Parts: sequence; structure tokens; C-alpha cells
Amino acid sequence: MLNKNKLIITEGEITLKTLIVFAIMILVPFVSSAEMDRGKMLYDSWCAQCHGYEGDGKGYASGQYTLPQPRAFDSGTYKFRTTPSGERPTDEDIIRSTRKGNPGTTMPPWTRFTDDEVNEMVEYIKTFEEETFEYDAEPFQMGKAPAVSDALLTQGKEIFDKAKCWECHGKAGRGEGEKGWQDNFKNDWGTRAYPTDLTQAWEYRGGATVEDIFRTVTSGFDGTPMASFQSSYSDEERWSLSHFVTSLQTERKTGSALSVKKVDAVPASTDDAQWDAADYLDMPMSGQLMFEPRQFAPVITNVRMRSLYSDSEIGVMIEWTDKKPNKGDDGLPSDAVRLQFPVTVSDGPEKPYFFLGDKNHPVNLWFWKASDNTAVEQNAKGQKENDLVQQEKNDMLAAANYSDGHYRVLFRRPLDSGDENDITFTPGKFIPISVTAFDGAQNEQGLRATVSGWYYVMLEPPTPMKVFVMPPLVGLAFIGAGMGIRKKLKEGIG
Amino acid sequence: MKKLLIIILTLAVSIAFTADIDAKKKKKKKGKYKVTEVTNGGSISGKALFAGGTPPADETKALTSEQSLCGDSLPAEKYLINGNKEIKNVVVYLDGIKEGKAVPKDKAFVDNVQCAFVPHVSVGYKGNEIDIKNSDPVFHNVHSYIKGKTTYNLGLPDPGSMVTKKMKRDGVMEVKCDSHPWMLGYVFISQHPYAVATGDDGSFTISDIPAGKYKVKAWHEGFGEIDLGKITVEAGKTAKVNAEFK
Ligand code: HEC
Ligand code: HEC
Ligand SMILES: [Cu+2]
Repeated sequence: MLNKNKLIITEGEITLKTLIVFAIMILVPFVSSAEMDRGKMLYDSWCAQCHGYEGDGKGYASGQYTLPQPRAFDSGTYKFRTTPSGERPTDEDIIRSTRKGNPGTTMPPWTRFTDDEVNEMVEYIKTFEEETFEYDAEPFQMGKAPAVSDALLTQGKEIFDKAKCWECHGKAGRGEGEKGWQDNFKNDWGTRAYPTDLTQAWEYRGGATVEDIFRTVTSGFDGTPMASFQSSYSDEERWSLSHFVTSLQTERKTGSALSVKKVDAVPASTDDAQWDAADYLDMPMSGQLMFEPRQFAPVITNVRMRSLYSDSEIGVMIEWTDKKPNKGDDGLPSDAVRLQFPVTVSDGPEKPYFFLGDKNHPVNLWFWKASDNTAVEQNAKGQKENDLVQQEKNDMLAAANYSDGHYRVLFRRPLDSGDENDITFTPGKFIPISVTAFDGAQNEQGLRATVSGWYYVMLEPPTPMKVFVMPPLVGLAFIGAGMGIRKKLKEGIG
Repeated sequence: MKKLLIIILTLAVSIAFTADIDAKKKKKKKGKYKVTEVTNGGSISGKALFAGGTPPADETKALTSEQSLCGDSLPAEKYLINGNKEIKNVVVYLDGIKEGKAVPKDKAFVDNVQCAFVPHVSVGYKGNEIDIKNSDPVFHNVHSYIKGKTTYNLGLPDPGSMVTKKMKRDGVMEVKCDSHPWMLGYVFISQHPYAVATGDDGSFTISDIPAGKYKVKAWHEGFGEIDLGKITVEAGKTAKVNAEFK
């Protein structure tokens, strides 16, 4: 009776029971492994919005919402591996990417799943392209990182030079190498590839520890221009190289306020040694997400601020990485940076809206553009076009320098410009400041920009005050929330 | 009630059937090549020719770096057609041959010489190794693809450095270099030994073929792939066919 070919259904003959048993017997083998099923279910609920239901990397949160694009698993090509170039990743490799995420991308670290659940998702991911996984994985041995020493770093630097890492990553390691800007510089998935800024540890997608870097230079990132150096150098050489790469990383000094030292005269040039000695504050940057046109995938991830003042003047210097400068003459907008202050500093926690202020809280803007290398003063009280006005009297002096993938822009202005639309700097007072940066290569201008939250600068009074009173940081939390999706995805899930 | 059950039942059966078909599709993967002893096999020989009017001239590629070593431009080596309209670097092969002589053990080889891949086109055999060398005093990263998918990407920083890899997949492997956008070469990776590339005079010979009828194809980087039809190979004899591109 269970022979499909001879199936004749006569109404009276079949009872409910036999029917159900029959249906189950036919279906069970095909819905076969319950494991795959749960893997699919978890994948569809947690991964598909980015990686796509078909594993094509084209979920809702792909395209303009992310850089790089979510991996297209149906390509069978994996960047993060412990196997030689061109080989499949091990299951552990896929698990590691899932557990740790990819810093500097929208791929979050996933901690919410049990090991079994992750294994089931991995099995499911592998079904999107099966040929890759028909071969055995032959992982290389990672071994143990040798202790770092000066000799090792010197050897590492020699290899960095000899191996021409700098042709793509730049002499300073900021990703400014010329080869990275050729037309062909694409990855397998059709989007532009950018050599990593090796100075910014938080942007290393494969992780920034010496072990992570060793893995990256050994395996290469398949599907991208980042080659494998496994056969070109011995393990020992690759360890020194990896140690040298970690030595390029800058330490981020974050906080909520920068205290500004007094000097005899604010240096007028960006390369004055006094600037290098000056204290700094790092400000993580996010895309502007509140107004159209939004920037979901910012490339400027950090700006560093330094400041000095004298009896008459204040100088604020902003530094950031830009792998390729744009002066507005290449069909793309000019690179630019803008400082923002409230016109009047309130004594309470009240601050203007974080982006271009609001009706009741106008802001004073210092705006520098690479195209003419000058800075102007502006005022804004909102985000509409005529909320922004250019001041007629310009009290601003600017100096800028671009070298080795690095912008330094210095703004100088009298402490008190005598203009009621300008911020006035009073020593001992916490003055809100925020930064907006524009990368021409990312088509940033107008409202499409990269923004920081509000921070403070405080001009240290020459005679130390007993207590500095920090205004409550209520505003910061609010801005943090406004910064949106990217951050939430990174921290909220998992 | 019964009607509903019957509907469920038919549904279950039809799902089962489609699933069954899916499973069969998967199993029907390209068959593996089987090695047999070939005695008194036949051959196919001929020439790759340009059959149209004026053959296309070869292209030149402008260099964007390394000019001091390699000059301002290099020939693309895409259309190497001599005065007799004979075409070099055409790969002629038996499509889908199931069994025959053993695959030669020879390694494939690609060198980086004066900012170009040498040889520009060659034939390799699946399962064999390939030596990838850099004879230049500049950095090359040999980044190869089959159907747009990375097969490997190897950094070759030092002059004389060489990397040996296995050719695991068959297909037309494009060889490129991310550092030098003009660089392009090909390794035609065949599952079986019946694939040859034409030389300067456009001629080719495929030998030791077990007697039978075979689909013959020809591939060229600029002209693409053409079908040379079904050719009958008789024991100990040579069948003639030309690969004519337009
Ligand atoms: C918010 C978007 C997003 C979500 C959700 C997401 N991913 Fe990703 N994932 C990415 C992006 C973007 C990358 C690419 C990173 C890169 O190329 O540097 C990535 C990369 C990966 C990789 C690395 C592949 C490689 O090339 O080695 C794995 C594995 C992965 N994701 C697994 C998962 C799993 C499993 C889930 C669900 C539990 C998931 N991802 C959810 C965005 C996402
Ligand atoms: C041909 C250009 C090129 C060369 C040469 C090159 N890289 Fe890269 N590298 C890249 C690109 C492009 C990426 C980013 C890939 C991606 O994630 O899209 C990268 C990524 C990396 C990363 C990974 C950062 C992360 O996101 O985890 C490290 C580390 C690195 N490179 C180190 C090196 C070292 C060390 C050398 C020299 C031995 C080197 N690279 C040579 C192009 C290059
Ligand atoms: Cu090259």
C-alpha cells in the first residue's frame, strides 16, 4: 500500500491515522536533518537580513548600508581563514568570524548562540556553495607568537619594505599606497577594495592582535587584493612582520573633554613640534543618519583633536586619515572638516542639537575646505539650507597639511572675536565642541557627512583652580542614541 | 474532511517527488575522467585560423607604474595572428571525454617577466601542480580566478621567488596581478589530457585518442569559444579539422 506507483485512494479505505503516518513517512527523509533545519531557521532570523536568504549577500542591510558588503556565501570565497590561499575555510574559521564579528564592519560578534546553534548555522552556510567544501581543509599551524623585541621589529620593518606592503598600505601604513587607487582594485564581489589603514586597530576586520595579523598575512584575504605571503616568508619572518604591523597601531585616547594648555603663542604651522607634544583627544566618528542624504557607511572612523591657547588666541588642530585626498577637481566633492560650537555656552547641560544646532540653540561653525585651503565662519540653527549663513567678517586663520594619508588642519582665532555670533573662549569653562568631517571620495558634502558627538574643550586657567566642575553629560547619551544603526548592531545584538 | 486529507496527501506526494528530482540533479555531477590504456589511438590535428576579412590587430596596454623597468606600454598578446592568418594561443580540446590516456604529470608554469605573464596562455591539468614565479625585481601578486572566483592570490615580493600550488579546479583560469592592472594571462586547466594550445603557426595535434566520436571545441581569449562539431577518430589515423574564428 505504501508503494507510490500503486497508490489508489478509495475513500472508505483510508483512515485518518494511516493518512498521517503515510504523509510523515514520505516527508521525513526530505526535511531530513533537523540540524540543517534549525541552522536555516537561525540563519534566516539572524543573518539573512545582511547575508541574504539565498546567501547572496544581498539582504536588506546591504548596498549603501554597509562597507564592506556582507559576505556572499554563495560565492564560496572566504576572507578569514587559517588555510592557504584558495583553500576552503575550516569550520572553526567560520565559527571564529561568527563569534568575534568583523571589527569596523556591520558584522557583529554573536554571543547569543550556543555552540551547537553556531555549528548548525555553519553547516547551513556551507550549503550555499557546496563545491568549495568538497575538498578537505588543510589549515596551517599558527604556532606561538615570539616575544617582541627591538631586533624583531627591525626585521619586521625590513620585510614590510621589501615585501612592498607599503605599495598598497602606504609608507605610514594608513592605506594611502598608490597601488590601492588603480581602477582594477576590486574584490571578487564587484565592489571597490581599500587597503586597510593599519594604524587604526579598530578597523582590522580580521582582528588586530599579532596572532590575527599573522593569520591574515599567511592566508591572505581571498577575494580581495590582499595576497597570501605564506610561501614568500618563513613563519619566523611573518611573526616579525606581524609584530611590526602592530607597532604601527595608534592608541586611541577617548574621553569627554580635552584640557587645553596655555603657551606663549599658538604655533601657526601644522608641523610645529609643540603640536606633537600637545595633549589630544580621539573622537570616534559615525555617519550622519538623521537627515537625507544619510551616510550609513562612513570611512572616516576617528578624528584626533589637539588644542593650545595664548593670551589672545586659540588654536584647534584636527587630524584624520584620508587614504586619498580630494580637492574638488576630480568630479567628487572636496574633502572638508568643520568644527561646531554653541554660540553661547549654557551653564547647564543644555547643548544645541548635535548636528547644525536648532532654532533655540544656534551654533558657530568653523569650516575648512581642501579645494581652496581656507576656513570660513558660519552660523547655523537647523538643517535646512537657509538655516546656514556665512559670516561676513572672517576672524579665522587656517593652515593645513596632507602627507602620508594624513590630514592636519589647524584653525586659529582670537579668544574673543568681539562678534556676537561667535563663541567666546573663557579659561576654566567647559566649552562644547563637535566635529563634522567630509570625505570627497565617499561623496560627502552638505548633510551627507561623518559626525562626532559633543565633547568639551577646557582652557586650563594659568593658576590652577581647585575643582573643575564637569557639566553633567546627559547630552552625550542622547547623541549616542542618535548615532544609530551601525553602533546598535555592533553592540546591541549578541 | 476526507477531501481535505486527500489534498494533504497529494501535496505530500508531490513534494516528495520534487525533492526526489532535486536529489537526482545533485548526483548527476560531471563524471570523473577515467584512465585507461590507449593502444593504437587516433589523432585530431589542424590549424587555428582567422576566417574573416582583416584580422584584428593586437592591443597595447599602457603601464601606470614600473615604467623604468618595463617601458611605457606592452603588447596585450591578445591577437597573435600571423600573415597566414594563423592564430597562436588557441586551446583546442575534446569536450567531455570520459576516458583515455593518463594525464601528463608535468607541472604548469607561469612566470612574471618584464611586467607580463610568460607564457601568456598555457594548458594545465587538474590535480597537477603549478609553479608561479617572479623573475622581476618588482613586487607582483599573482591573483588568479576561475569564473570570477579567486583560486589564489600570492604575494611574490622577491626576484626569483616561486610558489607551488595545486590546480584543484578545472576551467579557464585568468591570471592577474592587483598591483599591475594591465597584467593578464591564462592557464586552461583541463580535467583530461586532450587539450592543447596552438603555437606561432596556429597548428595543433591531439593524439592517443581512443577510437570514437568526440565533441571538439576551441577557446581563444579574444574570440571566445567555438564548437568544431563531432569528429570521428579512427584507430591509428589522423582526423583533420581547423578551428576557424571570425
Ligand atoms: C548587520 C549585518 C550582518 C549580520 C546581521 C550578519 N553579518 Fe556576517 N558579515 C557582515 C559583513 C558586512 C561581513 C563582511 C566583513 C568583511 O568582508 O570584512 C560579514 C562576514 C561574515 C563572515 C565572514 C566570511 C568570510 O569571508 O570569512 C561570516 C562567517 C559571517 N559573516 C557569518 C554570519 C552569521 C553566522 C550571521 C548570523 C548569526 C551573520 N554573519 C550576521 C554583516 C552581517
Ligand atoms: C596589492 C595590494 C596589497 C599589498 C601588496 C598588501 N596588502 Fe594588505 N591588504 C590589502 C587590501 C586591499 C586589504 C583589505 C582587504 C579587505 O578587507 O577588503 C588588506 C588587508 C590587510 C590586513 C588586514 C586588516 C584587517 O582588516 O584585518 C593586514 C594586516 C594587511 N593587509 C597587512 C599587509 C602586509 C603586512 C603586507 C605586506 C606583506 C600587505 N598587507 C600587502 C592590499 C594589499
Ligand atoms: Cu604584477
